[in-house]
Amino acid sequence: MKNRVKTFNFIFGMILIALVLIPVIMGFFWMPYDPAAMDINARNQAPSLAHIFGTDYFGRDVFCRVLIGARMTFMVGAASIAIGCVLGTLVGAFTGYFGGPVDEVVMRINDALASIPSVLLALVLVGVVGSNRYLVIVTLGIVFTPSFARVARGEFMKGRDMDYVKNAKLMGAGPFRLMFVHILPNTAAIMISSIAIGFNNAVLAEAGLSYLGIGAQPSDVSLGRMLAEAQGYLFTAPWFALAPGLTIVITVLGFALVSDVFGSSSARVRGVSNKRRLSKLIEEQAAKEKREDAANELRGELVRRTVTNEYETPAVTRKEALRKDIVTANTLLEVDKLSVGFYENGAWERIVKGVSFTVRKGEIVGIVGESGSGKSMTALAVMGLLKQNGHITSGSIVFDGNELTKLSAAEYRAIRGAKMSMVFQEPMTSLNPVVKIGRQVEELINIHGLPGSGVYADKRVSKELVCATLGECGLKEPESLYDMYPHQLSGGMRQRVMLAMAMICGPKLLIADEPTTALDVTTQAKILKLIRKMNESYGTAVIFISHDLRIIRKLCDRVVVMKNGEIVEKGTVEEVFEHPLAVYTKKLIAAAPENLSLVKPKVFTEERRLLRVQDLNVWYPSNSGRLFAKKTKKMVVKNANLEIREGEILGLVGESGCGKSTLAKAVSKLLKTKSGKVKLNDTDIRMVFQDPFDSLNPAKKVGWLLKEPLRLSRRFGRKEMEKQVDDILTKVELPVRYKDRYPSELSGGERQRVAIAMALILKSRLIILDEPVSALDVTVQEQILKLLVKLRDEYNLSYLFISHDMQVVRRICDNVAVMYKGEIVEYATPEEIFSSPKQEYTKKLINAAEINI
Amino acid sequence: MKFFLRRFVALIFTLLAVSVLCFVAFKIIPGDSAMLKLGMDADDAAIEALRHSMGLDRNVFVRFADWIKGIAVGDFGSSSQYSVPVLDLLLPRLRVTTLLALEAIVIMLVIAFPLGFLTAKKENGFFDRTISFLGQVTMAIPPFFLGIVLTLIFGVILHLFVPGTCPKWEDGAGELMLYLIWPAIAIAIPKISMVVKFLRSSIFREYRMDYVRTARSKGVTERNVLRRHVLKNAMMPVITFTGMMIADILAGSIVVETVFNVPGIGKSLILSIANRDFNVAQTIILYISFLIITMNFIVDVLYKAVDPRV
Repeated sequence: MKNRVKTFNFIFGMILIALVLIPVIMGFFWMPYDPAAMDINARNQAPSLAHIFGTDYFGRDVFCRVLIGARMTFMVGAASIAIGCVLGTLVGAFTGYFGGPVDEVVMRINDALASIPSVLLALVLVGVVGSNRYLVIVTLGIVFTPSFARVARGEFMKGRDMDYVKNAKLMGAGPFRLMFVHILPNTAAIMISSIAIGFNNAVLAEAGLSYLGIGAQPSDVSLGRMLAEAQGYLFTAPWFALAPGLTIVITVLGFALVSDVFGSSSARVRGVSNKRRLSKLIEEQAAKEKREDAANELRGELVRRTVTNEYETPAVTRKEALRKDIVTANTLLEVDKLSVGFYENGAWERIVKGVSFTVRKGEIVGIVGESGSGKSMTALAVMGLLKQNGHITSGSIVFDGNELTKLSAAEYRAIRGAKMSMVFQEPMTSLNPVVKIGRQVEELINIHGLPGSGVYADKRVSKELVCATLGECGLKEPESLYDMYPHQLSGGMRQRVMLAMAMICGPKLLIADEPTTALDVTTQAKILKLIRKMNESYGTAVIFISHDLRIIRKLCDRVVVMKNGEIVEKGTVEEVFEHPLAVYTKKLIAAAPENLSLVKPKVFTEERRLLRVQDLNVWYPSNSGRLFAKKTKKMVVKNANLEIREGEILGLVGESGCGKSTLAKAVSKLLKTKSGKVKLNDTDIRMVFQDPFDSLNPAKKVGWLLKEPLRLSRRFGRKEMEKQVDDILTKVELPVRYKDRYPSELSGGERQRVAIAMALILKSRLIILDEPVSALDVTVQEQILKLLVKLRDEYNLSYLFISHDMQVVRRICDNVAVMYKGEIVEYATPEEIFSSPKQEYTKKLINAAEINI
Repeated sequence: MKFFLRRFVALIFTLLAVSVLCFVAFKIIPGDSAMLKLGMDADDAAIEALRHSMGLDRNVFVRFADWIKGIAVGDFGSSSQYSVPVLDLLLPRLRVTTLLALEAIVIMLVIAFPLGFLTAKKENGFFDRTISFLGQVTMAIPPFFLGIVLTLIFGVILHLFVPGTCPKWEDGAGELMLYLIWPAIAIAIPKISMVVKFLRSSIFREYRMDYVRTARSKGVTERNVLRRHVLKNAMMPVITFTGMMIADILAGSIVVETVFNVPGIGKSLILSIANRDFNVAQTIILYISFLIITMNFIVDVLYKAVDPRV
């Protein structure tokens, strides 16, 4: 809400509301005239000091009548919206949370009701039943119920599937507590907005009805009725109509403006559109950066070495770590002291700080770094694709002999896609969903012409080229693919289409921004191979951006390590990986899962079983919710058998969709559609979920969240709960003061610690960890894994550790179960699995994890 | 095809449900129409006789079936106020209302879409913010007050039309159309604001999508990013929304007709409800809800035809 447009709307809206509400409230205590008193001598008087809105045909003061009319209109509006809101929220909460056939039927009725204009519905109800103020309130309340129900239903459906709700359910919170304590507070913003909009609609509807003479008794004064009366005197006393009308307009406008602030979640960011002002701003920022950098240079190496301890041995200077770029005739891209900043809401934020590197023809350069390191922004700056408020503040980019920062938009476009192309991280959203695959690929040759010649080809030739390129990118049956839409393709196939688009014009440079991060490991290996093939057969230089050191090491010739917008180290892959100079590089390499040494093989002396799963089958009823559809089972887990002993970490690996999370949910009783046995030995199960941004209720403070399991167990007094919370926070290595913070004020790693604390606070001994580190940066991942192992050793906990990362599983687990298409295909110790995998699939997984390309 | 059939079955069911509601609302809730006709003090025998002759003593389901049968052949009963068949009373009025609605729809489409595209050119630009604010203001004006303001400005002050004197159809369609422009504007203005707001936010939402970045990375010009990529995606929800608005206009001239004294079905509805002429009211309600439901159905099917994902 920090941007100006919204704040202005909010304040202006509040002023408008106050403008109307203050006099109306004042009217309860003091009125200048009796609103009903008629004065024959003062008929139809124009506004004056005595009668600020004039008088009507009967000589009554219009101002006073507007006040009591508004009172009536607002009261009806507020009362009916209160009814609608309460009813609608209840209906929406229950249908949204429970779903099923009842939901289907109720929502159909709801939709039918909502599709009929509210005034019409109110007209019918009031018309049929009779005219009476209270009836109007109830009627309007019912009329406005569907819109609230729909909003609430959407929110509760969303809430029901959130991890934080599942977590609370697991701790034993009942459906009512889940609905009204956990989910409801998170709907506040959107409900407030709906209430404001609903109030507006109710005011408009009430005014409309009373204007038509329906719903209000003849003796009642209401704004609508006043307007109806005033219409007869438009020629003689127009003020009589304007006063009540404007009252409605001001009120409704005020509420609409205020509700807008709560409603739209998209934060509008204010940049600068004026070109001259913008270039002046960039100039200023560049000068400022120069001063800053110079000052840093002066204090420079000393500060870096001693304070931030960036380079540990005094002998190693920053200059050495940034091994010299070799600029030769072969240089394709030379980025020199590039700085990128975002100008938002009147301030600059530096994202990339004076970055220099080169790419030679035909080589693969990796840029590695954690989230927020500025690696993607560097790539986007090279492509000239920075978002609206992102600007290159200083530095130069020379590509193929052209200074890119000085190009016009049209000149840049001629290079983009033709000589320099890019593949993005998210294959699911990077293709246009409503344009056929073939057309999207073909667009490139329609823009840039055929590769080499630049001649614009006819349709047949371009289609042939498109199909050939798709085929080359490993897509089968390109002719039929040509007419398909992106949603018909898997993620891996879409990424191949993206590559086909990037390669079809025969570019000199391909920028790949985390192109495999969203894909499964086996698919990842294939895409990497494809990129290497393109590099080798066409001599296309590649900038490969990744957080994954393994890939960089296997794929790249040279590597650039970035942190907080700066390059901390660069050099050939051998130099950087074998002899890292920067502390940060060393930390990154050490944190990589394949280099972790966490668990020493554990000997289980007393075999105490905590969990035993026998012949577990889990399915989803497909077509659930549809009323008359045949119920069929979709098997997700088939005949699973596993057991966890006290103190054991059992790894469960497999690719997305293999059923590993479903298995976890069935074991923890979140899913009930199952057969087989799940036997727990004297413990509860707790879960830690993958995404720490979903698994903590954003509306509650950390302390409240940690106390929830204690509250639900009903075994602790208030003081005891406080103490327990303090203890557990210390255990997960968080400061105790964090209990007064909201989850949004914590980093990803800190949230995951809170999630672990929630799982541990009731001393449960078995925890299901569902990809607990895969959303985290490598260095944070390492810390969390270490914490998990430490806690296991200290309290003899047992984990079911679900992961897609073979390397992590190998380092942390005592036993590993490999899942493939719903079945556990292999179950052994990590040593056995990695040294002599028995199943073809396991071999493939291991191979892919080691990135043998 | 399967989708179409399923939607079609749903359509039939919804129409039936609305008919039932309508029957309950107008034939059951108001009480015994024999009693209503004869008054509270009439003696029981007379009421009983009338009930029999009106068929009110039969089973509710039989009455409903008869009622539906009547509707199917265009027999909506007769108006208790004017003692003429409902259809004869309403058809000329329907003509006027349809003309008014068409004018409003044309005005809405002609203004809303260009305006929406213009505002979408630059998010938070001066034009965008001005139009957005004006939109907020116009949506805050109740339609009847808008009508009164238009009457005041263009009728009373500028003398472009004489308020309250709607020409008859028989006096010439041209003159009627000229008069109807004013109520049509009153109907169209809030709808224009809604469509512009919707279109604008839809376009800006699409601009934030990843595929726009992909298109730019291919070297597509900004013009074509909008035309070939963004619009195709942005227009789909707008189709639905515009369909709803059109349905709303077709149904929603009730209040504005009263303001401008237009002899359409909206005005008839108000009068018939005020006079408890339920046969007339029920026919109009049925007509309007059928219209809206059918429009929604058409929009659904259209959406399906345009969007490859559904």
